[in-house]
Amino acid sequence: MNIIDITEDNVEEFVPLIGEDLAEDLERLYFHGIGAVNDQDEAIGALVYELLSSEGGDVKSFIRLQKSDSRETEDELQKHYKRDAVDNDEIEESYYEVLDEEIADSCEAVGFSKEKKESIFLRATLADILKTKFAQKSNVPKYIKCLGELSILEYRSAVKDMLFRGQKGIAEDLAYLPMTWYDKDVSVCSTSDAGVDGLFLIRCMPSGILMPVFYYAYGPYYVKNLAYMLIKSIAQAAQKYPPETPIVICRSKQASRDMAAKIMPGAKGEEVFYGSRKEEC
Amino acid sequence: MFGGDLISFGIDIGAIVPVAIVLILILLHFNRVKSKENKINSLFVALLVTLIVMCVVDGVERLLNTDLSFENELFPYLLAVFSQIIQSAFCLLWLMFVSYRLYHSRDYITRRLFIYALPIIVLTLMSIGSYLFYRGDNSESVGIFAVIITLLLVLVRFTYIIISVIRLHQYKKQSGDMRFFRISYFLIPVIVVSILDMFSRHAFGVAGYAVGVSLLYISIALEGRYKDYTTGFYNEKYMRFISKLAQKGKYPIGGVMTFDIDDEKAIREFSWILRKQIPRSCEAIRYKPNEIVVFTRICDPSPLHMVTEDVLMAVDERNQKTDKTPFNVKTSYKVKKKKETVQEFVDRIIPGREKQA
Repeated sequence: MNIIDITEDNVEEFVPLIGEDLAEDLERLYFHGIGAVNDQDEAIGALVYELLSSEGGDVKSFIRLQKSDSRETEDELQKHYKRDAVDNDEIEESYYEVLDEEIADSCEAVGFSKEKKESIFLRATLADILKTKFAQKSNVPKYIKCLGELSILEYRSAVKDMLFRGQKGIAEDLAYLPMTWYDKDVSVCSTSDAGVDGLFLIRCMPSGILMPVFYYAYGPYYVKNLAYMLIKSIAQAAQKYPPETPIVICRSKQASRDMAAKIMPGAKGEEVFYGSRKEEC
Repeated sequence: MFGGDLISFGIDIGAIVPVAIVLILILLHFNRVKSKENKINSLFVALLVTLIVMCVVDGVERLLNTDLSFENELFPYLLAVFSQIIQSAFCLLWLMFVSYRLYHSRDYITRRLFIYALPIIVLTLMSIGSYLFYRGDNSESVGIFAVIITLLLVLVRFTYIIISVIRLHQYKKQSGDMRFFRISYFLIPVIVVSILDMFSRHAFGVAGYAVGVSLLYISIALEGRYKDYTTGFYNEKYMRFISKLAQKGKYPIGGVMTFDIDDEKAIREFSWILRKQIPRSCEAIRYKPNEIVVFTRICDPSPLHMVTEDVLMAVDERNQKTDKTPFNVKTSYKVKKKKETVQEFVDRIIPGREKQA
């Protein structure tokens, strides 16, 4: 068995293990993958993690996926993660959430805590969203526009503005993501003569899942504009996608937690196994 | 002719005339130095003109000694009501001024202008309507009605001022901006004079607004000390000012971008390019004749990288598209390290800062 880094060149072989969404995410700056291959160079295990910065400036690693054919492979992947990844990326804390208790047990064996917790991912379908109060409204001002109505320069300028306000949604690499990365019809923005003052960016994943990535507005009427953006986006999604389209909200940041509470008040995520470990780098 | 006490009239006129003269002088001076393209200047001029009109109306009102009481003549009554309305309009203008000064957006003003102006419009129509309805019939009713309308207009004025304070607070919370705008320069005299007004028979209101606007003008003029007029950015003096503030922990600096231009003559043109690329929350300073530094509050390197890349691309595009002499820019950026204090960071990014200060 060999442990290798998952890169653009070999990611195709790991797609059956990690799925097409994570495979595409691995092209992004803060996503990293470690893979295990057997002697025939067949993928037998993978560990994908995302680097996140906390408000205090610490680097955290969110292990997005661990999958392998055996406990031995899993241990190898964890060993490699601990030895190389943690040191190279100066990770100060690692955490995971998984459905499979066996994986949680193997993580516990290498120093992670283990507890049952509500998942940070909130899953719903477009049909669920269409039942909310925001879907019942349709009147939005003309200054609420689809992302596709912005020029690339306007988009970059808006992203810069948000970043300099310390806002990056759930994407650490927001600065590097192109406009085409988002669904230009369902993503919306709020505009004024001073520029873009609100963005609601939604990504359509290769698997067809819609995932809100950024939701923020500023200015004196930001509360209204946030609601308008939501209304417009839901209306646009209803036109473009079938009701069974899955929607996943990652509640890793306060802004996305607020958004989830707004769209689906009281909705709960799945119960998962969660664990964290302080790293010494 | 004056109807009332001559001393009281003297006090009122004695307060109004010098105020009007000072306001006219400020207006003349401001018109001489302002740059015409700036919308905030137009709003400041509108504030000054409204105040001068307020002085004139107040003066004429004192002359006729109309105190919203039981006069049966249309003109003095309307003049008294107009005096109240124009004070409310001034406060609405103040709210617009604050909004524009903070957000630089006309849309934010126009989107809610009608809603904000509605109380003034309704109260104006009500006061005219009440006069026409009761005229010659029951002058006492007109007087009572006028007092109610006046109180409502005072309430409207205070509401505008409270909204302006809320807006500033909201802006600071959203952006963390620490720049010069001192709303208290205006508010303190206005509040003090409003309290005085309540306990006095004299109209000091206009004087309070005038003192507020004059102090605001002084603060705007003082800001000019820190301006570099070639680029429109701040100057090296400002760098010293904020590095002192940062040392005391009163100015959050998270990162700095440096732009070094190889042709000093192109600094003005470069400043236009840079202005388009940096968000308003950043502060650009012309530190040396051919060097501009930009301070940011955030310490995340990715947006700084994004800006420096965009600036280089824009300069490249300019060099390709124009026949003018090309110029090159060297860019760099630094962010505050996790365990570094702002003080240490300032010392690291501005070598020799102590000597300069």
